[in-house]
Amino acid sequence: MDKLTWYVARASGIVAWALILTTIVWGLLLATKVLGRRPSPAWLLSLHRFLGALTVAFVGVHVGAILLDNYTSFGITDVLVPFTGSWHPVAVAWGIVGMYLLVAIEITSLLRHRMSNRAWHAVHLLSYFLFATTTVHMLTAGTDVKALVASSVSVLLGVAVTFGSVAVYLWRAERRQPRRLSTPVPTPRARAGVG
Amino acid sequence: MDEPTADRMPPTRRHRPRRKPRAARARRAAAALSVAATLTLGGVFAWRDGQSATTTTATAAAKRTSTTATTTTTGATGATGATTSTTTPSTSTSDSSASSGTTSSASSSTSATAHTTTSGS
Repeated sequence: MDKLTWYVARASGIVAWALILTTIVWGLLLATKVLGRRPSPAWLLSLHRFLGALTVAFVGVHVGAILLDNYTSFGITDVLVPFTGSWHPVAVAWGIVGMYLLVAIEITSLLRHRMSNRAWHAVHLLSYFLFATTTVHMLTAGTDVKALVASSVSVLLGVAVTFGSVAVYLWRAERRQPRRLSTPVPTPRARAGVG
Repeated sequence: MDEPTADRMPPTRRHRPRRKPRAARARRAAAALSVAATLTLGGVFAWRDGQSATTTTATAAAKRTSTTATTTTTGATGATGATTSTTTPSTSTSDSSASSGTTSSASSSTSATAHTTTSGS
């Protein structure tokens, strides 16, 4: 039972990573409206928000368990400031950056009604970078993802999310394009003053 | 004038069965799934660490035995008995009454097998 905090830290870290991935996928489903009216956008948004909050909670458990653990002996500074710890400093720095990104995304989401849509969206797009940093953190600092299958799966998921996001962005940009062109263009007959 | 029966009465807000919102159910399911996943992963890690700890102990014990056996074999005079025991440990065990050197080399061969298996896994 002396290693309980170490097991909790490892397990909650992996679950937090999976939750980040699920939240991003949920957000993509919400933004693209590929599912149509059922499930309703309100349902998707509610779950998307909840998954984000759950991710924050699991990251809290992950960091808390690491602080309590004796195996790695992390202090508050090691957890909050990158490159201060002695245990895999670069790998841990990725995780710290990811934690700050997650906090920024969550806070801006909570204060969305008080800020401009553009600013909120700009911060929200950082969630892709958050996924990338946490994936690197998991692959480099994680002691459980040494197996080839597990690392391949996580890299494949990362590539899928990145390409999916780019595809969604392009698709939405393409959908917006006809609206811009829908301004009345004078036809040759109108120009000639016919009709 | 007929009095309105209970069937014809419009359902009041109080009598209408209250439906739980779907998002609440999904939220609860997501939370439960996450906690279950954490517990399962933690359990798997603990079990795997326990397994590897047992294997490490076995390997260390095997190494210790093999070192002792080598020392004993070096001290023994009959090299023939040692060769036989390495190929067939059961033969060497049956011949253990013949000389002490043979018995020790039999344990040496057993430990070597155990070590190979451990490092392979």
